[in-house]
Amino acid sequence: MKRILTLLFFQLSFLGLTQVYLDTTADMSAKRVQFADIQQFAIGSYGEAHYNQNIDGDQFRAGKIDLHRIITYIGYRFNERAQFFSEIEFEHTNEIYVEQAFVNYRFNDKFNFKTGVILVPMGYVNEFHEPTLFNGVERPNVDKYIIPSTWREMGAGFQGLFKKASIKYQLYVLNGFNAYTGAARLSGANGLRNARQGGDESSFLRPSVTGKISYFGFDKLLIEASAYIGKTESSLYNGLERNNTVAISQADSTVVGISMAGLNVSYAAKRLMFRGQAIYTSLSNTDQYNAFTGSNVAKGILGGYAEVSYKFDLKKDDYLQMIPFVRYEYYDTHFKVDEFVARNKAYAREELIIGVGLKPAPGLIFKADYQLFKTKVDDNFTSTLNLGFGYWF
Amino acid sequence: MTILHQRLIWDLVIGFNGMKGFWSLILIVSAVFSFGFMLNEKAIDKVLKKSFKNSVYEKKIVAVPDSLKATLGELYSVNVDGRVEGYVCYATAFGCKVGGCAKPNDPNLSAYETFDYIVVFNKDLSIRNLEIANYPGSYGYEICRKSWLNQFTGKTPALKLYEDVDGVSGATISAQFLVEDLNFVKSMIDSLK
Repeated sequence: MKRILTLLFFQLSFLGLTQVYLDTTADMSAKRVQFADIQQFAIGSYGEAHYNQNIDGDQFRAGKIDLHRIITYIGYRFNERAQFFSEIEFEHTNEIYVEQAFVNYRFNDKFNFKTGVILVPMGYVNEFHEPTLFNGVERPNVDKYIIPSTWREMGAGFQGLFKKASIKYQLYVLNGFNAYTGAARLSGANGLRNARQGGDESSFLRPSVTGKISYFGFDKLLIEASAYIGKTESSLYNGLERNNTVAISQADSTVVGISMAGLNVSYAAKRLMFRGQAIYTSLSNTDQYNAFTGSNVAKGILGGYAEVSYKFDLKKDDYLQMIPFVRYEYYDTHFKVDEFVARNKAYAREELIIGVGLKPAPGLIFKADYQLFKTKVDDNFTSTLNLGFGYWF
Repeated sequence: MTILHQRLIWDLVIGFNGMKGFWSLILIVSAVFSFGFMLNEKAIDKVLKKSFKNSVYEKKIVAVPDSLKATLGELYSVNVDGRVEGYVCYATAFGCKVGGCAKPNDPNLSAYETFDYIVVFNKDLSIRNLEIANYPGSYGYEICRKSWLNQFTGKTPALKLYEDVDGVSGATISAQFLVEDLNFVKSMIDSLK
């Protein structure tokens, strides 16, 4: 900050006020100049590219090279209180999704009204999924198979921050999964993943409720508890007579109740970071659902991971971070099954990932990791080498 | 807990009946309208009361020119027995970028959200108390953590993040802007003294 050129003091005798004038030509940084006349429009982007190479001594294995996702953010601030935000995603270069598109109306820190396509606040990565925010080339598989990231639905609710109590909360009423569209969309292998609707002409009969409480009152520690409760949609109800009890009971058997609870913690002591997450989903009416649809969805789905990472600053005066990490994941989409379904132990999976991220700038990361994968029926781990980069600006 | 609260919980947890719960949500939210923002002045007084617990103090406006109003929002000297014993400033700093946080010192700051804080300085311009007054952004709210803010007490800007104060996980950008802004505010008060 350069020196202030002129200082003039005027003593105002009345009211005992001291008025001070500074020369307005004082050199302000760009930050200050723009501050007074803040723009309304914001644009941003993130993306990630992956290379996955299965390593097998005996066979040829084709690797996979994928521009996994490129995202455009567009935001607009209507005034101090009202803001629109959207996240439009190109996945694998040829699929388009709207991952977020909501309006946030702020009354104060404690109460914000939010409506539109909203991320379900479950676990860490579903909400904070930009590639510079998590370790490893791919998102944790617990955040793919147990929490079906990027999990978003249309709805409304409120969120806010209680600073004194060190609590942030979110509570939304959202559209739920669609478990039946002529065929089962829930499955033993993929759990809930293929039943997401995401505001794409979604079927809506019953709302689901989801919420998260983040407590940051402990030193260096963030604890978050999430919940989701709802019943799935089914295409069988549409157009049914309200007194057609036979057809209704048939439709009822395509509906599954879903209750998910999650707990995640982050502990950051200077350069060392620990992150842990555990998610349990309980599903009801799966016996009828499986009998009717021929699916094999579980009654209980469990997953979790623990990760330790460390940040090295490689340059003293410049930004260059190296972040080695190790993560253990366990996830079982057949943790508990009803009596008519045979438990498939191949759905109980564990992984160990060892890798490193190199950040030449806060918004750019090169990633490499080695992933060991095994199911409960396998004796040995299979290995995959993952390389990739991600950016965020 | 008001009847409305109870009604909301009942609707959400026990008796979710079509869109009823949704409208109750709207009702609750509109009921909250009436609380509105806490006035800056009131917030400043609250912080001062804590900072100067056992003294009778009087705060006097230090008027700042328009060009500085955006950052030096409201500046007061705090007088005890007619002598200046400190300063209090309600200031605004940049937080995260709308939709995320990636790039500090981005030349295009138009896209950044802002947050408000209240800083109380001692006579020698060491920090006496620091509180976040408003944090509208959805990223970086961890800077409101009390134990992190307490680190600033007794320290005199110019400060350096990671050297004089720890970083805060999940709020790297907001923390950086806050430290920068404190340094700026301190230097401004210094030149106004």
